[in-house]
Amino acid sequence: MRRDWIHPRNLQEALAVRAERGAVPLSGATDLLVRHRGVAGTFPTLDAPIVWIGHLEELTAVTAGAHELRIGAAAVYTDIAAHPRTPAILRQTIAELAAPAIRNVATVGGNIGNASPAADAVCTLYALDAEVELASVTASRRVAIAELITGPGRTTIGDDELITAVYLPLGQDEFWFYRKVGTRRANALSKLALAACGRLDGRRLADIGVALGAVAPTVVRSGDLERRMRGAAPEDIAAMRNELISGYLALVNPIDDQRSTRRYRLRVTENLLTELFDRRLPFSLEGSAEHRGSRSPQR
Amino acid sequence: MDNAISREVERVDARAKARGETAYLADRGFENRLYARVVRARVPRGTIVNRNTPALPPGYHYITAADVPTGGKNCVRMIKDDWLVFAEAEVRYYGEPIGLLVGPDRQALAGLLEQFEAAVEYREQEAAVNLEEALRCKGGPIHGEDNLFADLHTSKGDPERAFAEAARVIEREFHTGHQEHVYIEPQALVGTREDGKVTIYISTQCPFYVRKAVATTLGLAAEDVVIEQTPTGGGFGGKEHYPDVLATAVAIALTKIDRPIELILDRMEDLEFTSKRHPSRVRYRVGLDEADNIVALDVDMVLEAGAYESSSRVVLQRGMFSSNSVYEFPNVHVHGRAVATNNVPADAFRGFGAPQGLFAAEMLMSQVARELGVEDVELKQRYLLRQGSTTLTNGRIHEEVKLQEMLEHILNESDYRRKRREYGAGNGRGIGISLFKHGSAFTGNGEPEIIKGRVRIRKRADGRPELLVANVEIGQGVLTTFRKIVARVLDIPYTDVVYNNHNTAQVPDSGPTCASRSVAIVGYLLQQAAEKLKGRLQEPGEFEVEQGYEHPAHLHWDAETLTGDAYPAYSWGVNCVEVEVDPLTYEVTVTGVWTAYDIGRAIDEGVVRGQIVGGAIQGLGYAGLEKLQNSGGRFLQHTMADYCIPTSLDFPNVRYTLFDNPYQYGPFGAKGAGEVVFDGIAPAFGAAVQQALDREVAHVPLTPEYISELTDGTDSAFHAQRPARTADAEPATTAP
Amino acid sequence: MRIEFTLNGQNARINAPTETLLVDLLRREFGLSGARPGCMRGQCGNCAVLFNGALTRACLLPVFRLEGCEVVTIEGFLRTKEFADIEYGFERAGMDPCRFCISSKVLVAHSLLLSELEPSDLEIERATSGVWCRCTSYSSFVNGIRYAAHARKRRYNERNF
Repeated sequence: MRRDWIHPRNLQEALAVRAERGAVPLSGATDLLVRHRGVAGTFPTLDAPIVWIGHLEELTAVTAGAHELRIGAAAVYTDIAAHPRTPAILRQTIAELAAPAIRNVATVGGNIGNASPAADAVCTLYALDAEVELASVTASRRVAIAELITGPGRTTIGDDELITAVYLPLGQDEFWFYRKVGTRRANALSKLALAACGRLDGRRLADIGVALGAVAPTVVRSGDLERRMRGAAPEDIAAMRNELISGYLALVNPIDDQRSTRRYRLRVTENLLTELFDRRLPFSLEGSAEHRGSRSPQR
Repeated sequence: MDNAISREVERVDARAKARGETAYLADRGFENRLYARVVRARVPRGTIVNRNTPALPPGYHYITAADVPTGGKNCVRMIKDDWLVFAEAEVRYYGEPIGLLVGPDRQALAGLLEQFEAAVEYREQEAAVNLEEALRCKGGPIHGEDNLFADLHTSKGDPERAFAEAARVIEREFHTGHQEHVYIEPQALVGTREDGKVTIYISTQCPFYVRKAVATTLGLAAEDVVIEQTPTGGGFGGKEHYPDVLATAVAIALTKIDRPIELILDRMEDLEFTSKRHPSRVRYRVGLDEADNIVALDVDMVLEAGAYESSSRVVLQRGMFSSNSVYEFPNVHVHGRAVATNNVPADAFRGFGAPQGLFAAEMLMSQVARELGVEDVELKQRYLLRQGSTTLTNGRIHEEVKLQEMLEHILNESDYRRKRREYGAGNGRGIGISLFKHGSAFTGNGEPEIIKGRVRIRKRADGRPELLVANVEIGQGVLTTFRKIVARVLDIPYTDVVYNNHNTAQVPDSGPTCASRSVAIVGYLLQQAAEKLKGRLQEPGEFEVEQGYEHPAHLHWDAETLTGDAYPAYSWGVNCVEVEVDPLTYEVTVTGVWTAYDIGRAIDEGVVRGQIVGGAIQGLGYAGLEKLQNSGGRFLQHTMADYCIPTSLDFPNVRYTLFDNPYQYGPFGAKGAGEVVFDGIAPAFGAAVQQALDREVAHVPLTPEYISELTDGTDSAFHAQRPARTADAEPATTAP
Repeated sequence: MRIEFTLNGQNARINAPTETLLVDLLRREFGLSGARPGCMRGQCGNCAVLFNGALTRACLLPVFRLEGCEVVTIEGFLRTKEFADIEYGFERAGMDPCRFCISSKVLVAHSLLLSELEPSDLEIERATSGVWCRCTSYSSFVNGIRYAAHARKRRYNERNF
């Protein structure tokens, strides 16, 4: 039996079919259709009605306020990367994500809704303290991304809710370090990733977010370890580095799968944490502004 | 003879393809067409207890082994005919075809496929899914009493005595993995009946192979089957035999259904269930005298053949004959085995056994050099084959060997000696060299005894010559190179040569498009045929000249004892690969690739460049990226997202130099170029990584996971240098 | 459902099940086969089309997204001056082997040159990484785009003066 594909005129209509019929939102289709895809000449087999949201202006805009950036849930990565206020670490993440033709249609809302622990942008959104805005016909709420995603493919999104936007506080990337370890250089899925960013206060760390992707059922972030780093000077980081590294390693629990091994993921996670605490963070705290951003080496 | 023929011309098929105007099989309309899907076994090993065949809606058909017509045979006739079109009771691998569903609607077929596959009941048996398990006959033998499809020996000198007298013996073991072809156009065919004959339109390298297979399965005379090759989007060996497997299944269906039937594999199906490159395990013993001269070599090579033998015996032979690379040792014994497992059958893949043998041999030499404290290039140079050398099958190297000159060129061009010295050991950077050869054409007596290729050239009424050959364009450029060869003999523009027929009813069997033989063997037949036509283009009317293969009189081969000239001639290569290994993630960045080849004489430099660059990148994929892991009889990597082939970002430009060395029995001096360009990349990459890590590398793919395990442990110099390397690689955040 | 959209500059009206994918629709309804179903899962990049001007994979586009949109396939793109630049560049570079992937590469090249008329090698490699090729003519591809960029600049300059 074919299922309905609904083409709403506005967000209200989309929310209504979501509530009334449990319709699944679809925009770039780069994940949902791939998962439900058949062979050439056949239709994707989906077991719920689909509501198309990629054309809704309420959802596609990227707008900067005084203190935060609002990214519409159906904004495509190409547009997000092009916005002048998009944090550099997110821009870098997008540059390493899939391929141009995918970035032209894939959306941040889709990545969050799918809740894959290996989704590149989601890891960076954790580090950036992203909040997700959800709406239903009757209400709207904002929730920290870490509270929204509860496991692989599992979220606390209500049966009547749609993701409408993601909010990023601005200025959270005075320094940043992003490293994706993929299956190859381009068009790659992550074996693991580390995203770290924050604010500086002279030689001290004012705030930091450290997120580890693809090494546990959800992206790993630790409020406790981050609190201990706040206010730290380079020498404090040096003194704490063993506890920090072992603290994070205690939180990860990677698996063996078709892309990599548990052993490799643990080892490289440790290496990346070591790199962050021994080198990147101290240099950022001591160094000048141009030393404060860092990306994966690209040929 | 000048080498004007090497000058690059515009490829005749270039424009239509760039404009998307070339019709591949999936682009062609066949009126009244039905679609087919292969019903596959869902256990790696077992017996079908009950098929519980579900009911079919009207207009749909289910074809099985029971539908093979009288006089026909449920087998795929390739080199061997043990591969079944449809499994009967016994299932040998996950995904083995057990039937074919045919019907008008693809959506409905998808639903039926699921039903039919799920309905089958099996009695499962313990499967042997890698060569170690198969050698132990885990779960009982799959084939014969010992799982060996082939068990071969060849030897030279007196290896037993040489080992007895050796001052020391060095031992090593190497492994290579499965590799999938990933031609971008999936396997595709349409079977129909035209003028009463079974007619197959198919994406293939070898129309006459398909004809032979279909005729055998249906019990027809070969002439009653017509095969037409459609423009083919890549092959690499994957469309050498495998199309037979699909064509025979559709052919059986055609005996029941009088409509065109289209079978195009889905990418995931193609990735998981079509043939692969043979994984290998090669063990060496190297006997040295008191002055550290290598006096004896003992090789134990095992190839994992998968569920059916198909071409494994021949692949094994090429592997064995490559296991000494380009070195002459006085005493050699090679033991080769092809072992049956419960995996998809392994079959032809660019290199055909040679890459496995060469990887092992070249890594061995570099590790013997390490152990002896000699630079590996110096060690290798001591044993280079020369004109007149005796091969390990006691044949001769008949041609001039330019390896030394090629090696010097590559050493200079890559600045190898300086880099080798400066990078030291275990500092995250390395550079590696490989030397290698690839025998053009079929092994041993394949060309004169089995293939017996023939070509014809028709002088058309309009005065233009038309090539009647069975070899097909699969991207390698024969549409252009064959025309150039004939045009040059006849002294006419190459665009005046007609060559557009890939239909078995209209051309003689000049053999398959594989084994680096199209230009070297068939091109030479065309040159000879064109000579017969010379001066006759002005004659009135239409007539044909023909040329059959004549084995050069100086070549000898004994297929029983595997002795003599295994190949008519060799193409030679030297590769150099430079790498950096990331100390944080163990990812390898290739920073340079330098190559040199002697392929006789290039028929077209543009075409040859395409082969060189493509071969090198595909070789780097094999060496570092492409991983297929078997878990319980299935590959874990079965989507293109998980089986990673190189993209444009993965590897740098490939430099190349051709060494002109015309071969007497090749067209204008040409030898094979399609495979030698793949063969040597993996060991050069391996040697480079070995230096970067200061660790011996024993297998490909050399994934970051494997590198991480190699460098485990606190004594690794590679770890000690971590901070310094990071600073170099990523200046953005590091202190000045 | 009935859908109206612009295909290669012309108004197109079709009646097709909503979840039909564009790559199939182009073949079935319009006989356009330049977008090739290489994997049907958005990975190989061989079914490239321009969707509202942006490079997109036709195997991931259900037709219900087409309403009021603009689709350009290689067949439509052939008629443009932009194609002529790229064809010139690719031929000049000698784009190699089997060419199954080349019509998508043409659209990738165009899409890149639209946003950047003087792309660096790295930008070219990044842009092209989305079309897989196994023969592997990536380096010719990079050269081809360089030549095409040059041709396009020259044409723009001529127009300006």
